[in-house]
Amino acid sequence: MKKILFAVSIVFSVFLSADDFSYRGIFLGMNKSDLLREVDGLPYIETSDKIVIGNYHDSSVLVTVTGNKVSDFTVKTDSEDDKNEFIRLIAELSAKFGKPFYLDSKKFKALFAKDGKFVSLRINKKSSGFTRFIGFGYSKECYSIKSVLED
Amino acid sequence: MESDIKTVISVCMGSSCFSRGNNESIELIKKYISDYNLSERVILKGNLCHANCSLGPNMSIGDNMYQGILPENIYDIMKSAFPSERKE
Repeated sequence: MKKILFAVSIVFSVFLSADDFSYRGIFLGMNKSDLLREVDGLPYIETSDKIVIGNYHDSSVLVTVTGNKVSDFTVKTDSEDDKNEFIRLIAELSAKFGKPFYLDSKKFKALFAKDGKFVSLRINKKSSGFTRFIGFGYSKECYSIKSVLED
Repeated sequence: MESDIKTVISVCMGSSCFSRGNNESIELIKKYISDYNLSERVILKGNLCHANCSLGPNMSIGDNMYQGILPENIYDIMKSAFPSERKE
Protein backbone atom coordinates (compact mmCIF):
# COMPACT_ATOMS: atom_id res chain seq x y z
CA MET A 1 0.00 0.00 0.00
CA LYS A 2 2.85 2.32 0.92
CA LYS A 3 4.52 1.60 -2.41
CA ILE A 4 1.32 2.43 -4.29
CA LEU A 5 0.89 5.67 -2.38
CA PHE A 6 4.53 6.56 -3.03
CA ALA A 7 4.14 5.87 -6.76
CA VAL A 8 0.93 7.90 -6.92
CA SER A 9 2.56 10.82 -5.11
CA ILE A 10 5.52 10.75 -7.51
CA VAL A 11 3.25 10.73 -10.56
CA PHE A 12 1.13 13.49 -9.05
CA SER A 13 4.14 15.69 -8.27
CA VAL A 14 5.55 15.21 -11.78
CA PHE A 15 2.18 16.14 -13.23
CA LEU A 16 2.01 19.22 -11.02
CA SER A 17 5.53 20.27 -11.99
CA ALA A 18 4.72 20.04 -15.69
CA ASP A 19 1.63 22.15 -15.16
CA ASP A 20 3.47 24.74 -13.08
CA PHE A 21 6.18 25.32 -15.63
CA SER A 22 4.17 26.08 -18.70
CA TYR A 23 2.93 29.06 -20.62
CA ARG A 24 -0.09 28.34 -22.82
CA GLY A 25 1.09 25.60 -25.19
CA ILE A 26 4.78 25.78 -24.28
CA PHE A 27 6.08 23.73 -21.35
CA LEU A 28 9.32 22.45 -19.94
CA GLY A 29 10.34 19.12 -21.42
CA MET A 30 8.34 19.38 -24.62
CA ASN A 31 10.02 18.17 -27.80
CA LYS A 32 11.44 20.75 -30.17
CA SER A 33 9.30 19.38 -33.01
CA ASP A 34 6.17 19.84 -30.87
CA LEU A 35 7.29 23.35 -30.01
CA LEU A 36 7.73 24.25 -33.68
CA ARG A 37 4.31 22.77 -34.41
CA GLU A 38 2.84 24.86 -31.58
CA VAL A 39 4.31 28.08 -33.00
CA ASP A 40 3.79 27.18 -36.67
CA GLY A 41 3.52 30.28 -38.84
CA LEU A 42 5.01 32.67 -36.29
CA PRO A 43 8.33 34.44 -36.86
CA TYR A 44 11.28 32.91 -35.05
CA ILE A 45 15.06 33.14 -34.94
CA GLU A 46 17.05 30.04 -34.04
CA THR A 47 20.57 29.15 -32.95
CA SER A 48 21.80 25.69 -32.05
CA ASP A 49 20.36 25.95 -28.54
CA LYS A 50 17.97 28.90 -28.35
CA ILE A 51 14.89 30.04 -30.23
CA VAL A 52 13.21 33.44 -29.99
CA ILE A 53 9.59 33.27 -31.09
CA GLY A 54 7.64 36.40 -31.87
CA ASN A 55 3.95 37.21 -31.55
CA TYR A 56 3.09 34.14 -29.50
CA HIS A 57 -0.20 35.25 -27.92
CA ASP A 58 1.09 38.85 -28.12
CA SER A 59 4.30 37.83 -26.36
CA SER A 60 7.85 37.02 -27.30
CA VAL A 61 9.27 33.77 -26.00
CA LEU A 62 12.94 32.89 -25.58
CA VAL A 63 13.30 29.12 -25.43
CA THR A 64 16.40 27.12 -24.53
CA VAL A 65 16.54 23.71 -26.16
CA THR A 66 18.74 21.05 -24.57
CA GLY A 67 18.87 17.56 -26.02
CA ASN A 68 16.00 18.39 -28.37
CA LYS A 69 13.73 19.32 -25.45
CA VAL A 70 12.64 22.64 -23.97
CA SER A 71 14.75 23.13 -20.84
CA ASP A 72 14.07 26.78 -20.06
CA PHE A 73 11.91 29.59 -21.36
CA THR A 74 11.14 33.25 -20.83
CA VAL A 75 7.96 35.03 -21.78
CA LYS A 76 7.76 38.77 -22.29
CA THR A 77 4.65 40.73 -23.06
CA ASP A 78 3.48 44.28 -23.45
CA SER A 79 1.79 45.93 -20.53
CA GLU A 80 -0.16 49.16 -20.42
CA ASP A 81 0.26 49.46 -16.66
CA ASP A 82 3.45 47.67 -15.73
CA LYS A 83 3.43 48.50 -12.02
CA ASN A 84 -0.05 47.14 -11.40
CA GLU A 85 0.68 44.21 -13.68
CA PHE A 86 3.78 43.43 -11.63
CA ILE A 87 1.76 43.44 -8.41
CA ARG A 88 -0.90 41.26 -10.01
CA LEU A 89 1.72 38.78 -11.21
CA ILE A 90 3.38 38.69 -7.78
CA ALA A 91 0.03 37.65 -6.33
CA GLU A 92 -0.56 35.10 -9.07
CA LEU A 93 2.88 33.53 -8.73
CA SER A 94 2.73 33.64 -4.92
CA ALA A 95 -0.40 31.51 -5.08
CA LYS A 96 1.54 28.94 -7.09
CA PHE A 97 5.01 29.10 -5.58
CA GLY A 98 4.57 30.75 -2.18
CA LYS A 99 6.14 33.97 -1.02
CA PRO A 100 8.97 35.22 -3.26
CA PHE A 101 12.38 34.77 -1.65
CA TYR A 102 13.66 37.80 -3.52
CA LEU A 103 11.61 40.91 -4.12
CA ASP A 104 12.96 44.25 -5.15
CA SER A 105 10.08 46.59 -5.82
CA LYS A 106 12.41 49.43 -6.74
CA LYS A 107 14.01 47.48 -9.53
CA PHE A 108 10.86 45.50 -10.31
CA LYS A 109 12.40 42.10 -9.83
CA ALA A 110 11.14 39.07 -7.97
CA LEU A 111 12.30 35.51 -7.71
CA PHE A 112 10.31 32.46 -6.69
CA ALA A 113 11.60 28.97 -6.02
CA LYS A 114 9.88 25.63 -5.89
CA ASP A 115 11.27 22.12 -5.95
CA GLY A 116 14.70 23.30 -7.00
CA LYS A 117 13.36 25.31 -9.91
CA PHE A 118 13.17 29.06 -10.16
CA VAL A 119 10.71 31.48 -11.64
CA SER A 120 11.70 35.08 -12.00
CA LEU A 121 9.53 38.03 -12.75
CA ARG A 122 10.83 41.31 -13.99
CA ILE A 123 9.66 44.58 -15.42
CA ASN A 124 12.41 46.06 -17.51
CA LYS A 125 13.80 49.35 -16.30
CA LYS A 126 13.61 52.17 -18.78
CA SER A 127 17.39 52.46 -18.49
CA SER A 128 17.82 48.94 -19.83
CA GLY A 129 18.09 50.36 -23.32
CA PHE A 130 14.80 49.21 -24.71
CA THR A 131 14.09 51.39 -27.66
CA ARG A 132 12.72 48.88 -30.12
CA PHE A 133 12.03 45.22 -30.40
CA ILE A 134 11.75 44.65 -34.10
CA GLY A 135 9.32 41.94 -35.04
CA PHE A 136 8.78 40.90 -31.45
CA GLY A 137 6.95 43.70 -29.75
CA TYR A 138 8.05 45.97 -26.95
CA SER A 139 8.60 44.05 -23.72
CA LYS A 140 8.03 45.22 -20.20
CA GLU A 141 7.71 42.30 -17.89
CA CYS A 142 8.89 38.76 -17.96
CA TYR A 143 8.24 35.39 -16.56
CA SER A 144 11.28 33.28 -16.53
CA ILE A 145 12.14 29.74 -15.70
CA LYS A 146 15.40 29.04 -13.88
CA SER A 147 17.82 31.85 -14.65
CA VAL A 148 16.58 34.94 -16.28
CA LEU A 149 17.48 37.80 -13.99
CA GLU A 150 20.75 38.11 -15.85
CA ASP A 151 19.62 39.65 -19.09
CA MET B 1 31.83 17.22 -27.47
CA GLU B 2 30.79 19.04 -30.61
CA SER B 3 31.71 22.44 -29.15
CA ASP B 4 35.16 21.08 -28.15
CA ILE B 5 36.25 20.84 -31.75
CA LYS B 6 34.27 23.70 -33.25
CA THR B 7 34.69 27.41 -32.65
CA VAL B 8 31.71 28.62 -30.64
CA ILE B 9 30.06 31.81 -31.80
CA SER B 10 27.83 32.97 -28.97
CA VAL B 11 25.30 35.75 -29.46
CA CYS B 12 23.37 37.34 -26.61
CA MET B 13 19.66 36.73 -27.12
CA GLY B 14 18.61 38.58 -23.98
CA SER B 15 15.88 41.04 -24.75
CA SER B 16 18.04 44.15 -24.53
CA CYS B 17 20.86 42.97 -26.81
CA PHE B 18 18.41 41.17 -29.05
CA SER B 19 16.19 44.18 -29.60
CA ARG B 20 19.12 46.52 -30.26
CA GLY B 21 20.53 44.59 -33.18
CA ASN B 22 21.38 40.99 -32.35
CA ASN B 23 18.15 39.84 -33.96
CA GLU B 24 19.55 41.05 -37.28
CA SER B 25 23.14 40.09 -36.46
CA ILE B 26 22.21 36.44 -35.94
CA GLU B 27 20.79 36.23 -39.45
CA LEU B 28 23.90 37.91 -40.88
CA ILE B 29 26.16 35.49 -39.01
CA LYS B 30 24.17 32.56 -40.35
CA LYS B 31 24.50 33.94 -43.86
CA TYR B 32 28.24 34.38 -43.42
CA ILE B 33 28.58 30.82 -42.13
CA SER B 34 26.68 29.57 -45.14
CA ASP B 35 28.42 31.80 -47.71
CA TYR B 36 31.87 30.93 -46.42
CA ASN B 37 31.15 27.27 -45.82
CA LEU B 38 31.97 27.45 -42.12
CA SER B 39 29.26 25.15 -40.83
CA GLU B 40 31.69 22.31 -40.16
CA ARG B 41 34.00 24.60 -38.19
CA VAL B 42 31.67 26.67 -36.03
CA ILE B 43 28.65 26.28 -33.81
CA LEU B 44 26.27 29.19 -33.34
CA LYS B 45 24.81 29.44 -29.85
CA GLY B 46 22.56 31.86 -28.04
CA ASN B 47 23.32 33.10 -24.55
CA LEU B 48 22.45 35.73 -21.99
CA CYS B 49 25.25 38.14 -21.25
CA HIS B 50 24.91 38.20 -17.48
CA ALA B 51 24.23 41.83 -16.62
CA ASN B 52 26.49 43.15 -19.37
CA CYS B 53 23.68 44.05 -21.71
CA SER B 54 24.26 47.75 -20.99
CA LEU B 55 27.55 47.31 -22.87
CA GLY B 56 25.87 45.42 -25.66
CA PRO B 57 24.79 44.21 -28.03
CA ASN B 58 27.29 41.48 -27.19
CA MET B 59 28.68 38.41 -28.89
CA SER B 60 31.78 36.24 -28.61
CA ILE B 61 33.80 34.13 -31.00
CA GLY B 62 35.87 31.62 -29.11
CA ASP B 63 37.53 33.56 -26.29
CA ASN B 64 37.11 36.94 -27.95
CA MET B 65 34.32 39.18 -26.67
CA TYR B 66 32.73 41.83 -28.87
CA GLN B 67 30.63 44.56 -27.31
CA GLY B 68 28.49 47.27 -28.82
CA ILE B 69 28.22 45.37 -32.08
CA LEU B 70 25.90 46.44 -34.85
CA PRO B 71 24.65 44.39 -37.78
CA GLU B 72 26.87 46.41 -40.09
CA ASN B 73 29.94 45.26 -38.10
CA ILE B 74 29.24 41.57 -38.51
CA TYR B 75 31.00 41.08 -41.81
CA ASP B 76 34.23 42.64 -40.52
CA ILE B 77 34.07 40.72 -37.23
CA MET B 78 33.57 37.41 -38.99
CA LYS B 79 36.24 38.24 -41.56
CA SER B 80 38.78 38.99 -38.83
CA ALA B 81 37.87 35.84 -36.92
CA PHE B 82 38.04 33.57 -39.96
CA PRO B 83 40.52 35.34 -42.26
CA SER B 84 41.44 32.43 -44.47
CA GLU B 85 37.95 31.46 -45.53
CA ARG B 86 36.83 32.12 -49.08
CA LYS B 87 33.30 32.73 -50.20
CA GLU B 88 31.70 29.73 -51.89
